[in-house]
Amino acid sequence: MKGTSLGEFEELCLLAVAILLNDAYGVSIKEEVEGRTGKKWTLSTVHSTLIRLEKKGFLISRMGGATESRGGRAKRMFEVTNLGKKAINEARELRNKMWLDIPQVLWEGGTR
Amino acid sequence: MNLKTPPQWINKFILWYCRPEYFQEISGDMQEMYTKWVSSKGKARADLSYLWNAILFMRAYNCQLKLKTQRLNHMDMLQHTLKLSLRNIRKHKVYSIGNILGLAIGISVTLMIFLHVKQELSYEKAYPKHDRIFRVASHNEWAKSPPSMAEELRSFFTDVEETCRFAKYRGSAVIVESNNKRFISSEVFFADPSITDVFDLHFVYGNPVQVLENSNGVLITSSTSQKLFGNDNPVGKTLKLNEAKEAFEIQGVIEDFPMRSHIKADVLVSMAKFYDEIPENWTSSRGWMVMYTYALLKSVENKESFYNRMPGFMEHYLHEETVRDMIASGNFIEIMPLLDIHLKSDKIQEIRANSNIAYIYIFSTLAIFILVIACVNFINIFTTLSFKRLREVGLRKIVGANRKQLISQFLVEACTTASLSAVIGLMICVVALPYYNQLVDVTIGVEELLATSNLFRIALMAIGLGIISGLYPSILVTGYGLTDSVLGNNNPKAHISLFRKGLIVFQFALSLFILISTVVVSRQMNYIQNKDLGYDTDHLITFRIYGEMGREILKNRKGFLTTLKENPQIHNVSLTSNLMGEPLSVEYFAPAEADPEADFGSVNMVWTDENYLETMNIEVVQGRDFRAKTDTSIAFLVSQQLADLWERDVVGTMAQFREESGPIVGVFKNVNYYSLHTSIAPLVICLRPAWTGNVVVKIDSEEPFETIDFIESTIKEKSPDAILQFDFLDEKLSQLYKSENDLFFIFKGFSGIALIISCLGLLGIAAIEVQRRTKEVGIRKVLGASANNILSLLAKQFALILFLAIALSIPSSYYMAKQWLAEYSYAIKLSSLEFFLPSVGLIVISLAVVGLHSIKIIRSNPTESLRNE
Repeated sequence: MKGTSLGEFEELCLLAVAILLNDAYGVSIKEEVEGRTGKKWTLSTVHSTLIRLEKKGFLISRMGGATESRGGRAKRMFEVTNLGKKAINEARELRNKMWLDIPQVLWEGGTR
Repeated sequence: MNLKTPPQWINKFILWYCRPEYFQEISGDMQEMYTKWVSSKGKARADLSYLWNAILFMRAYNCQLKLKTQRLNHMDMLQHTLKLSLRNIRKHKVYSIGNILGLAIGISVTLMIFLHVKQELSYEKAYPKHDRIFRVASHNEWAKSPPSMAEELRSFFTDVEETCRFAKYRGSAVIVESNNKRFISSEVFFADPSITDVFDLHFVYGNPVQVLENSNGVLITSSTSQKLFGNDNPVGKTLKLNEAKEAFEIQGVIEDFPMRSHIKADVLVSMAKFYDEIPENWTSSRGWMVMYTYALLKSVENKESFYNRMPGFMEHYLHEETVRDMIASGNFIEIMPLLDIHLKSDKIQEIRANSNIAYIYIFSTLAIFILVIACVNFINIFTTLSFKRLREVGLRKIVGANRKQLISQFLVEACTTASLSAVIGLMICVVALPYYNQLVDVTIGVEELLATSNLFRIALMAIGLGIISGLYPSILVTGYGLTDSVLGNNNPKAHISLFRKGLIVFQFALSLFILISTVVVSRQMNYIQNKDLGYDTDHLITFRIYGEMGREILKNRKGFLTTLKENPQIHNVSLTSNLMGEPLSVEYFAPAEADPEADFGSVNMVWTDENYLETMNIEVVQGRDFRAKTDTSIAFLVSQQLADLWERDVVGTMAQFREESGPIVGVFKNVNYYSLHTSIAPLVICLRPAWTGNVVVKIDSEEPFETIDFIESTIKEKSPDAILQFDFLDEKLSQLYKSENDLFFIFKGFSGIALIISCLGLLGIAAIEVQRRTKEVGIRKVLGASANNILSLLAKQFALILFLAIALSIPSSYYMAKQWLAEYSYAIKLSSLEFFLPSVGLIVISLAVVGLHSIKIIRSNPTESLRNE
């Protein structure tokens, strides 16, 4: 499984890229993740994670979308690959399966 | 949203470290964020965040420093070369070990001597005002000056800020007593209060203001305080000197004087006390040299005018006649910078025996010689090894290495080997340091050796040596054409070049130089230590008497002597003011009826009792020895030299000394009272037991320690508190030649080292030479040459090298030996033997080295050597 495993933050980033679809690049991903988790991440953390995910094959990127607000510099736009889709799907399924296996008694057992 | 520009230098910073493929996006993202930050938290904090993020972006994946990208290949190459050099070292174990060890020894010797020299040069530097302090001696052959000079200096020179005087407390050993504890110190001085200012004394206890002002004040050093009071504060307590009734008040405790200073003191007594005790006509005398006077200048710039105006001061201070006499004999009042005293001052009655700058030069020269020998050796062996790798070089060339790369490869290898040597050398140093300290009586700490600055220097030295030593072989070996290199060993050009032969000649000349010097030094030392001094030195025990015990012995002198002599082990006992080798008092001494105008000059004088000549076995050549019964008051014995000088029959005549006169009863054979550095001077022995302070006991050779116990118990019967220190006179005398003995030790060690390193070098050269001629030897053997023929063939060229080396080193070592021996009044005559023997030794050793190596191939079957193609 090595190489295809997903860390928690990696998973978050991957999901954010998927959500943003055609507008996934450094700043927007960072804001998406921050908005959803309520935590702060530095740009470099996000960027390095994205690059790592790309190396693992979960993302592909292309350059584009230079705007005035960026001082005319291009963005690296990310897209989720099929492998990436598979990875988040697997992650979700794994969780779902584990959720289903939690004995009912845990919820009924009351307060602890 | 307006575009805000972040600080450009941060952008440049990002551009510098960032991989180009990520730069666009990173700086773009950062720019976007920056605009947001500026609107949300203001420019200043936005800048800060921008910088912080820029720093955070320096991560392994995108942080490809441009420098690094360019060097990447070199780093790999370097790694490769390092690995290769280690492999090469392992492959040629014997050569490499010889090489590394030779250089390591060279480095460690140099290092040790460097530290030693550095220490010698650091004397007095601990005093903050060291560059402004000068010692003023009223005569250039003496270290001392009259008491009144300091004050006159202050009033004559406006640029003298302060003066400070020291005078030795009476007697060379003083009992220091306080708090019911006592010890003997030979470092008790009278000192001016200004000492606290001039030498910046640090006070552990007490207030530096107003110390040593009144005549009962003393300062003690912290180690003295430790001895007497432990860790308590002794300020205000009393202290007694020499068991006298009057007590001094301890006014303060100062830190010990710096270890590297010619001034050492345990107790400082107020100078006022000195004036209390000495009659006024003495203290005001301008001819009584008793004090060490130091002047502190207002600034270093005044130095020149201080020197220039000194002749003026001389005329102002001394009698007109004295000045005339002094100028006539080439003498003058001398200023000596404090920093120079330890190395350059060698006057009569120094505070303590100083070192000699000549030793610094000799040591440094030796160190450089050995390092050079080791380097030459390194070059030789390294070249030898490099030639074995001609094929490798050729192959590298074929693969595409250019010459620069090849040279750098060899340089890296040389540097690696040199660094290895440096590390080993450092280890040798650490291990050998305690022995070296003990041997030459210095105190170099390991922490000094391992100080960062020192380590840096060693690293620099190793790299420097590596480059210097590696340059020649690398240029040589990489200089061959492609085909020549690939053909390798059989290349006819790979013979020992003239340059290398020159190096060996040089190396051997240096080794021989050191070897000859060693022989000369050792002969001179033997000569000095076995020379007839005019008196016996064996089986003589000496000890000092002082305080109550001294008074007791002197009061009841006859009884004391008789008691001692009852022991059959004790042959004779005598009292004397000065032991052999100690500085003597210089007194005016003349025939009683002499015209007061006539100049009879001053002589060395020693005060003794009646038994001195007999105890010391000094021969009387004319007249008689002192006789207890007849000579009841003052009487004199003069040396042969003085009798000759006076050109008259002195026995039976009266002579005057100070305000007294007495008969000269005899003439004794010349003795050398000081060391053999100086020539014999006229000497007068004066019968005056009351002025003595040493006991000399001639004992039987058996059971000396029992005899010492006997003497001690005899004295303790009368004076139970006495502290006694016994010395053997011959041991004391050998102390006089300590620096020479140290030098001799070092010389012996170093010449051995130099010889070993040189032989290692020769071995390397012999090896390559023999190997190169393997085939030739094989053919010769086939054609019928005998082993002797071949051996002489191989030895011939080495013989030439040796003879050249000998021819070079003999004249230079002869010259140096002459120079060194000129320092001695009693020097050996240089004979051809000193030069001949080491040369022959060198020839034998080196031919043996070459021969041993050659025998292997001479013995081998020619088919084997001819087959190797």
